[in-house]
Amino acid sequence: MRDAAVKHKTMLLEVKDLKVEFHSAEKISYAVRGVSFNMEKGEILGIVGESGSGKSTMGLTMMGLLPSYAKYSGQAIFDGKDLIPMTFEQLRQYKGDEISVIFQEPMTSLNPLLRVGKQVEEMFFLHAHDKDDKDNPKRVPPKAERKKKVLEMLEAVGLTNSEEVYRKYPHELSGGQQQRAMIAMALMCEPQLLIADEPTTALDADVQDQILDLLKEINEKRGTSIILVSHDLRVIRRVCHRTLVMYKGEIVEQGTVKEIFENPKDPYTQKLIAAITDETKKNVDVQGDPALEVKDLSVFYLRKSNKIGEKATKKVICENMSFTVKKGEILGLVGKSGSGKSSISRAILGLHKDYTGDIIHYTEHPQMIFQDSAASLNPAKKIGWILEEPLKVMEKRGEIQMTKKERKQKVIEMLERVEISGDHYDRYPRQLSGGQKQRVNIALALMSGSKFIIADEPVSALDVTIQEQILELLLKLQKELDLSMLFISHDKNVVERVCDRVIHMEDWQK
Amino acid sequence: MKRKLKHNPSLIIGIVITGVILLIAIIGLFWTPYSTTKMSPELKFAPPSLAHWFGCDNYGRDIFSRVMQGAGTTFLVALTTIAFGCVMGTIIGFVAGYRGGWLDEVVMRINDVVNAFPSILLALVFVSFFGNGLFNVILALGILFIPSFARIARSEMLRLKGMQFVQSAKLVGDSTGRIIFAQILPNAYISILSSAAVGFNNAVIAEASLSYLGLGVQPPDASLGRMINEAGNFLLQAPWYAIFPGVAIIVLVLGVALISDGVSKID
Repeated sequence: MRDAAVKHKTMLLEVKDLKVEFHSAEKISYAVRGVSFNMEKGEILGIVGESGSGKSTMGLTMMGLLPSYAKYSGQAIFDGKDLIPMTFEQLRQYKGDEISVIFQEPMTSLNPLLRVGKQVEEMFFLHAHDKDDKDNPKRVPPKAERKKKVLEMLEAVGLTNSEEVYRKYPHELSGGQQQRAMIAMALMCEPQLLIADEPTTALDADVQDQILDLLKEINEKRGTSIILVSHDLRVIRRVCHRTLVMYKGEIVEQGTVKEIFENPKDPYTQKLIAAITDETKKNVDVQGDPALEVKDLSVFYLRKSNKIGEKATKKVICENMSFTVKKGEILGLVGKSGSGKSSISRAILGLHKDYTGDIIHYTEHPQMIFQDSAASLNPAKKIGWILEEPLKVMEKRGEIQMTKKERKQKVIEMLERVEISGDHYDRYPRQLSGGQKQRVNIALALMSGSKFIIADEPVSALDVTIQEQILELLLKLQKELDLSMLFISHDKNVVERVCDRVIHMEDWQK
Repeated sequence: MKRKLKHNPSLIIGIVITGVILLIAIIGLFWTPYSTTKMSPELKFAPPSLAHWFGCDNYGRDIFSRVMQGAGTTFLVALTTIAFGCVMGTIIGFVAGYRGGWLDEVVMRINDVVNAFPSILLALVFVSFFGNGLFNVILALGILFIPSFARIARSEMLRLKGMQFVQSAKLVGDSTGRIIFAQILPNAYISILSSAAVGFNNAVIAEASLSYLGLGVQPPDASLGRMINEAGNFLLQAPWYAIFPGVAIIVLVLGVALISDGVSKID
């Protein structure tokens, strides 16, 4: 199958010297800096790079979806016509008909108020392009025929109970099903090119695989060419024939997937590949004193009823969970997103009260490193203030005594310990990158001198290369400070990379 | 801060307008071109002239001087009213939102009840019960403004309390008071301030309405609303009597509205 591109050598898309700049009041940022590449019919082309590398911007440019403050130049010749100088109206003809896009978040891409079937069907009205009927391509097929075609398409993308799905609203579908519905919509007008922008990033690992297989199947059965944009090299390796590696708006390397993976030439590509293949596990030392003991832990939620007199319903997260984290050990807890991993960590740290069972801490001030998000650090406060807070609390409890100067000194030491400069003391969280924020989060967890830390998806919101840096930092700190850790993630690869032992959520769920 | 101001023309213009009026009002406390209370029959309904810019009223008092003094009264009433309503409302809304449960239900339902009555009617009841006077007007209006602030503070609290930094703060060991006022309040103050500016305008108008109905500031003291009230009887003989205090209210409201608009644009 990898040779599909060689078989029919017709050019589908030719991009020449594409440049995209974003102009804002303060500065001009260059998103894409003169990129050229070719794509043949029937090919699956991967574009890989970290966020900010310009990979998504390229796809948006071809669809004319860039915001008005973007300036772009170059050529993108699709089927003999240059897309770049086209107006929005001219491009409309291509959208859906010849080029379709699917995005990362199916839930926000689907209209929550329309039944799935209706939304897929709407493509007939937007494009009214019946390719079977050459005499009258603008004809909208009659209702019964439309429904039949939609059902066929839903089946084709693996939604086998198509009648049922047709009637459902988007929120009644799972994430994977939503993405399938999006794909059905994108394929309705039988486009030549499908641009898939991080189509699986928001999904669980096994659902990811299913969607990727589906894309491959579509390519093989229908001959649809696909541009797959992703930050995840594993995704690229799984489905693509050829791939471009982008870094800071430029293509640093391109070639077949085999070439790139077996013989990466550019140092950046080498680093990316090293990050996913380096899965060295450490020796397991199960002996030693416990840092945390969990016995028969059952965590649940009480959902209040809105009806008077009706009892609250109980939603069980896990039942009779027991495990021990030894001193100096990193224990991995793997579970799907939405499986309640975070509720468990919150229960262990006393932030979630609805549980039964015993939780015994053998260390003082257990802390948590949260997933990086817009509000993982107080947006209204400076980094210095945020990091001094644990010290002030300890002072109030009479555990330590410090002058203002000593506090600042300690915070700056901690900042340097997590490998960012002490200058960040006077900055606001919004002035920091995702990786830097996560470093500050780690610093915050360590500030009160805790020896046991729960890391709850600490890297899942970050780019691959940044992920790697943060994981290395965690491992380094764990050794230096002799920390014990409960490391929670949905990503098996990450867990295997850092943890001594791994336990699975599913074992305690029905 | 400088950069924020540069891209925020409504905030700058609003501050300038309000600043000028405030300046005039402060000067009016200590000095006015003419006495605000001395009656001069020969000047009754004198039209605007170089000597009396805004003309004179039915007792021959200089309207410009009275507008200067009245603006101060109006400003004072509106500001203290809003300060009272804002502080009380924020505390109530924050605590209700943070605690949730029955406390939240009870507080917000009381809020709804206060909200359900026309505010002027409630103020009338309050003032006629406790008597006239500046202090009672401020108190009555202040209580009436609590619900609107409580509502905003509560919704801000609901938005913010689930955020991760609040969880971190709990883990670090912050007390509830510190979480509410040191961690969460700084994230909410922009919404609260911008609605305080809107509320200020409503307070100016409410004070004017109360005084217009004769329940606010008592003669011979001047307030902008009071002046319009008195001018109502002489609209045809001396239109300037109503026009100038009215314009003063409009300009004051406009200035604060611009500030409110500007504050809400600060990110």
